[in-house]
Amino acid sequence: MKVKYYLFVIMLLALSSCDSGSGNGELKKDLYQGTSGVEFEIFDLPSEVSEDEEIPLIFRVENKGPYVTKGRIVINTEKDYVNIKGMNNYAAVDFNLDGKTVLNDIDDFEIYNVPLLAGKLDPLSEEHDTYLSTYLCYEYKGLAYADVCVDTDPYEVSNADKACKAQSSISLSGGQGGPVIIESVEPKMLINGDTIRPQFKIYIQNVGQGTVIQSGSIYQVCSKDSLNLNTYNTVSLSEVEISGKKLSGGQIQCVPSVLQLRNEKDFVTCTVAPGSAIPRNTLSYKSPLKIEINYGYMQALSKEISIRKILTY
Amino acid sequence: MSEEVSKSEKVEPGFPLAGSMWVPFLVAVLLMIVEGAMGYQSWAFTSDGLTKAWLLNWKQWITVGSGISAIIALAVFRGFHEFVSDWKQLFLPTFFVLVFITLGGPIALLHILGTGLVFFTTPMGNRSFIKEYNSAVVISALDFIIFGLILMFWGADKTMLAARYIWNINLMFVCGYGLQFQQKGALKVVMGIILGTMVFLVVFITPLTASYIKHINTVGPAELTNSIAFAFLDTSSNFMNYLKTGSHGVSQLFNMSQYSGGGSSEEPEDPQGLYLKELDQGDRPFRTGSKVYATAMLEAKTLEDPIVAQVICYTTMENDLGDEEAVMGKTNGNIGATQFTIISFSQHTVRCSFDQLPEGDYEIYFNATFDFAAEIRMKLYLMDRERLLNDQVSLENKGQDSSSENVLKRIYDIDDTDPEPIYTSGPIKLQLGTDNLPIDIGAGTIRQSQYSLIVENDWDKGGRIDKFNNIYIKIPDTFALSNPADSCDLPASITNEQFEKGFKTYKLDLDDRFTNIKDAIGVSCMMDLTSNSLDPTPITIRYVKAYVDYTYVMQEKTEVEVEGRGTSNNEVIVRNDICCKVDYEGGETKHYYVINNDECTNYNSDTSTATLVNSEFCENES
Repeated sequence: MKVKYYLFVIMLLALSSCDSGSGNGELKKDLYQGTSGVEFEIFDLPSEVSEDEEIPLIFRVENKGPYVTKGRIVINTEKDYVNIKGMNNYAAVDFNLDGKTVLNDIDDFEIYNVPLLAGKLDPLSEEHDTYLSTYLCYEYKGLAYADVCVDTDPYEVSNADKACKAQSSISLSGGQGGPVIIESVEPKMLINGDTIRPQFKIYIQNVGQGTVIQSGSIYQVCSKDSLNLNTYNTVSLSEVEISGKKLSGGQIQCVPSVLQLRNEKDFVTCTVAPGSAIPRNTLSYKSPLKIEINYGYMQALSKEISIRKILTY
Repeated sequence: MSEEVSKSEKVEPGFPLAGSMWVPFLVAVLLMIVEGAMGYQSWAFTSDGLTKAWLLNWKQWITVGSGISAIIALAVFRGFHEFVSDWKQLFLPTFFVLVFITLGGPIALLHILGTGLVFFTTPMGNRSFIKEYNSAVVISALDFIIFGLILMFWGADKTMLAARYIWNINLMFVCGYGLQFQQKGALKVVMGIILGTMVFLVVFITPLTASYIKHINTVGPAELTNSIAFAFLDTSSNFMNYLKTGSHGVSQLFNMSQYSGGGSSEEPEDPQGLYLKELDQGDRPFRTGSKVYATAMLEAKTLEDPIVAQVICYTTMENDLGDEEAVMGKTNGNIGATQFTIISFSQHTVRCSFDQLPEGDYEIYFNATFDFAAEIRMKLYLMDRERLLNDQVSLENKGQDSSSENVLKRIYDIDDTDPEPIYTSGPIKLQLGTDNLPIDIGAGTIRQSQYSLIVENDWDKGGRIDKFNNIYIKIPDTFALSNPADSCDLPASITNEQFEKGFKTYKLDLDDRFTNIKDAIGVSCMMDLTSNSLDPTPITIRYVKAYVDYTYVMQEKTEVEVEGRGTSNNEVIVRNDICCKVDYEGGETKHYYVINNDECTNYNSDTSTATLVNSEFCENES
């Protein structure tokens, strides 16, 4: 009986050692890391085909980030040399992909097969290099949590011990699971009489290879449509929250409300509204600062295919 | 006011209007005519010029009609009496209306309205030229400069913007008039400077426009000044060149450097065509009195259809008069040309023979004449104009080079930003050029784009282009030549020949320039593009092509030596393979080798009749 008891304890210990030691929060934090969003890959496209030959275009679109996304892939061929089988020389494929979750950390993906058909070459032409262009446009988000110290005595006038002290900058450079990252936060405590108004300078950067586009403009960008000046490099700040004070609730004010990236970077300054200021007699405390951004993203990918005439000699 | 009126009366020009205001206008018109006559690709004669902008579509009919109505309305409003007594008043609105209608489209109505305002707001009774033309200066400045600036930030067509700043005939006119009648010294100086600059630019409008076109797709709003600076530099350099050489510097049919273009062969190492190879005169020496022959190997490289070639051979020798004369040989036993039909890589031996040649060194020539064709294709990238501008702004915001090439590369992952036209291999080289890529097309507008084709002899194995049989221009079926009769240097007409799905084919009406081509010849056309040509994708790829059908003469030679048989040279009878049959009275017939027909006719007499016959008769007799 005792032997069985010890065996049970040993098994229990062994099982418990399988845990990585990180808690649920850590797991969630891992999901919101990295700089990959939706990725697009074309499988084994032949580099050389003959006239009238079918070209298998198989591609995968995969969401590597934690955000639910929707988007469009546009395929465009050179009309005079390659067409989509049974169709014209262009096609659009819409997709919806789930984000990674704590319970499901497998990247959601879709695989599409769009057969192409090589056309005839000019009678005197022996070969022709043709381009297949693909455009990927998708909606995406960024969500970052930064532990900030709401320091009610920033100049340390009081002798009382403080639970925390305001940092000059908090780095978040590992990314939040998307190509546009909230890079860092610079907190500052503005003293306003008996209250303080925490202010955060939030730095945002595009670290991906594509182009940031305005949220809600993906179908426009992945078309021939004219665009307006705000279509590109625009990121919207959808939420900033600290200690129950929210941008959406009006307790936090951000300037500018829409970021226009220059050199792929921009910053926004968010300040707790005067009506929601924190009394200075409150003890300093640490609180998570939630920052959420919305944007669209566009990437293009071209492939070259050589069409050769079938020579009869 | 009365003083001003009296001043205006003092300086008011007599009839016909005279003074410096005419200078820029006349210079511009004169230069346009001269340039047009000399075949320069002046802006005024190409895309947006006066000659192409009028009455092309119903919109312009409306605009022109409205302009004429406006003039009539002014006359009625002012009163018929004033109209008759002082009709010079109508010169300015007429001029403005004519300029505005060249803008084309209903938007020009706004400009006409703006000009009309000048007249309707000038106080009646105290009317003076000074007042009206000063107002015109202001309106013109507002209309062309300020409105241009606004458009710039809206991302408008840069061609139009450039025209506002550089080719602003309207402002030139106003400055000229201001210079004549303006009373204030400072303004006079300013207008003089503007006018002088513009006249200078107009004088060299071709390089200026070329420069502008060159930069049209690379300038962003902030770089427009640079574009103008480039124009000045190019213009200055052309001006200096003109002083040094007396040459305009851009006198070729078109200047490919302005455009995206060129051409490279599909198979530079092993081109299609006809090859005369392995020319051989045999190992043994030829002797006088015996047959002289040489052989050549005829080989073709084609893709589908065989090549049909007519082959002749000949040598030259001095005749009795000391002139060089061609002596025809037999090709494979035939007098005259022999036809060969050659499929790819099959070989045909061509044997050239001369019955006998006098002692000496000879060059035996093989001529192969064949019809062949070549095609060239050039890839075009098309995109929406507003989109291109915003893409450029986007790159600027990213701190990257905002050229249109970089838009294709950075935003749309297109590495082949300046695609080289590809032509099928063969004896001729083709080059094709268009505007810089991508070609931006504004919504609801007609974009005109250059199409330039150069054909040149490129067979390094000897030969020449005999003549062009047909030249076909193929453009996507959503494009058009705006007016086939005069959109190209040569008249063109749409045809069903050389039909290709997705293309419109135009056949050029070739003139004398296209026969006996020594080096190269070119033709250029203007194409009209609209946004209908765009696929529902960010970048649209289309091709423009040309198909050239021509006759080519290829020539190769080999050397032979004919040795004597020990007789002295003066005993050698110069003969060739022409045989003369002489029928004598009494039924006797003799055959003689002769140099030519004249020599044969010498045998004609009262008792004999001479005719040329097949040389076999002479051979048999000898």
